[in-house]
Amino acid sequence: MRIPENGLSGEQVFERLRDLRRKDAETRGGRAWGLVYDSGLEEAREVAERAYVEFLGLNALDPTAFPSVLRLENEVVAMAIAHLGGGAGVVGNFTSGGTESCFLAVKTARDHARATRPEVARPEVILPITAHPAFHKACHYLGLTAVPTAVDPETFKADAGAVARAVSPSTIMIVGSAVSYAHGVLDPIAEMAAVARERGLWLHVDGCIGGFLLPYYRRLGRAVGDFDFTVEGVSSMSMDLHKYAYAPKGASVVLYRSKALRKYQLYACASWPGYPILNTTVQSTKPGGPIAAAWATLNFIGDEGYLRLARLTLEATERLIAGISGIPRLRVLGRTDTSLIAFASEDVNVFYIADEMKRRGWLIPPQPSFGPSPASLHLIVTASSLPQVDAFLADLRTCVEAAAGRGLRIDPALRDTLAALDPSSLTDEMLSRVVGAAGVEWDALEDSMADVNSILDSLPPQVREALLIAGGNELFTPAK
Amino acid sequence: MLYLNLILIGISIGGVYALLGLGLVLIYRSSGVLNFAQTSMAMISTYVFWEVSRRAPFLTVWGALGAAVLFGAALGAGLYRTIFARLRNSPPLARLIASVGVAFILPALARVIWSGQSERGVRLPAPFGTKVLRLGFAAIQSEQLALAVVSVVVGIGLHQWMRRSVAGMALRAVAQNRQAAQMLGVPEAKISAIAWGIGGGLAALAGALYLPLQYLDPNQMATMLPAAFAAALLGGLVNIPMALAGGLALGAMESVFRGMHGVFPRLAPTIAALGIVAFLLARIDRFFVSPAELKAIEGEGAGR
Repeated sequence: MRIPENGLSGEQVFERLRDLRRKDAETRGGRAWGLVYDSGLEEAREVAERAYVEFLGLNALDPTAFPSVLRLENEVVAMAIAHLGGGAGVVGNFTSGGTESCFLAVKTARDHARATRPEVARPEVILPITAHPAFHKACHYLGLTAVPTAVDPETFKADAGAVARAVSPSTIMIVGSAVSYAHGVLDPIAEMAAVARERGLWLHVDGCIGGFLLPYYRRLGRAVGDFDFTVEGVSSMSMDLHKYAYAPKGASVVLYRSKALRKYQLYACASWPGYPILNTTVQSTKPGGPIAAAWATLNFIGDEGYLRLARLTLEATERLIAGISGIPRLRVLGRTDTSLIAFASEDVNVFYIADEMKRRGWLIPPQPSFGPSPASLHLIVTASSLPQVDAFLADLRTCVEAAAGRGLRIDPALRDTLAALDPSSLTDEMLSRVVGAAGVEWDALEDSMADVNSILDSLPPQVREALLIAGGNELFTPAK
Repeated sequence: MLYLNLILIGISIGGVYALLGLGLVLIYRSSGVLNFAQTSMAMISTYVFWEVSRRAPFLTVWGALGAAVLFGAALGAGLYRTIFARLRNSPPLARLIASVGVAFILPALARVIWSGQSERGVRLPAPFGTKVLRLGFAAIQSEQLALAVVSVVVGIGLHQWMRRSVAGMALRAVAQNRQAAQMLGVPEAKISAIAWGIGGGLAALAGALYLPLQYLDPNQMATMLPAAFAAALLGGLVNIPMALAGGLALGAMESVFRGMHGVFPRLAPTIAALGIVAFLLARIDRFFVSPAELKAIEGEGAGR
């Protein structure tokens, strides 16, 4: 495929785009239980879109050329700081998303340790196994060693005792989740902060998915443990705005206790013949659209508006938990502190439930088994979920029955091959052979992922990862 | 060229089989125990390697390796003193079942102690580094090459030690005729504990050198048990040079199978198991073991 010799008309362009969109998941209406966050407020969406378009061409790389974007970023960060109990001195930056926020926090902690503890040769980051993969990715990119620690097998909250025991002279950082993605539970941040204070370590609280909602839940009367800058010992926090602040995608913040810590995040380069650059985040050219749209959304919905949305979310979550618990063969994992629900089944393959639900128009992302957490289905409840709860529960009940007794239809020989794979000796050639042998065709996958998910679930994480990379490497093949 | 490279890489895995197999031979010779816990001992000693390397960085990775080997040795000697010495006069089946029990207990223990780490696995520092070396015809990581070299050096050293040192000769005496050795004043329990200690140390060495190429969790190494047994059996459970060569050859063969097309990659993990059956059926040990040593083994079988 080449750039068309003569450009298409605007109408043709949109026709092509609309055509491509036909197979996509719905982003609005509350039928997708993952990937998208819908406030259900049509006007808020329109305001955000207009702000996005108006700031589309602006580049936050040079704040002197576009002071408006600098001002918007500083206002958004100020609102985030106030929301997370940050006092004077707390600073932060706007980023493209949770992964960038978490990455920057790890990089900043690493560079801080390099400056203050140069004797640490192999720095380690303590990650309860429920910490987001963004932290593993950051360790991988930044040459740090991730040290996983146990979580409570019933509540799935990080075990502060296990964290304390895992601290070594090489430890530079501890990560806690507020809340964890997989089960929606809040780690014992105060206890983890005590460990961090005692051992002089950096504690990052990852509030990417829960940080925005938790203060509202507290105001709605829910018991929410301390998790933010009010806890002494918290060095940095991350919070996404494109989740429960309902800003368009590409909006997150990373916050630090002080400028003295944040300075290790910044990067400047004057050693080249071009203009001297200062990058606050990973991106250098930084689009103005997401910042403006996040600012617009926060200002348009407002505090009372968010409180109302949180109330709707809380009600939907509670009704879903009660409903799912009432369906035979299903059980909810842990007790969510926010709006994320993971549920599992002792005797029905949940991946087939997800496929059945997909046929009825519900998108439910599955989670393979890991450690104490069995294979489960994951619901991200939003403010627009409430009107869908009854229909969802009715379909879920039917789909559990439909999925009961179903199991893997895959060639047993293939399964044996996969089980025998040795992650250290997997070659690209072997992997592509395996992916080919699985008869995996991506078009077919859109309708049925249960078999693939079941296979992945039966493999050790390291083999899952190798197969995902091989699959992804195939998926992104230039279009013909 | 590809196959030469596969063989070279296979020899490094074979080094692991050989180190484990040599441990099996020593332990069997001294105490008549077919030690199913050999790979579990390797796994848990590697956790010690990891903990020492991170908690005592001043010792460097070599200090950690040394600590792991010492731990493995202590574990081996400790297991002998606490369990297998007491079963000295029990039927061979009882000793075998006890070793199977230990093989299950150690991973369970690791899961309890390192619960969080055991779920995602641990990445380990590689003592010899993971630099890719180009040797003309082949490319291999420094750690892989080291595994092959270390196993050969250790195997030869052990063979010489058995032949020349007083303790080594005492061990052979115990293996050949326990009662006669005792009557001649060989301290059998002490000799057996030493053999178990060396076996445990070799297992630790195998784990701490090999798992940095992989990752560490309580299930690791277990799948290598058949290959270790196959290597030990090739030496008739007594012959050290044959166990060494057998381990290396088995690793090379598996590696070549994995790199071939068709059903071969799928067969690779079964080569060792097939080897065990074949060796037992063919009583291949008759060809490699001196009549006196064979007599000693058969004495084992008769239930001492």
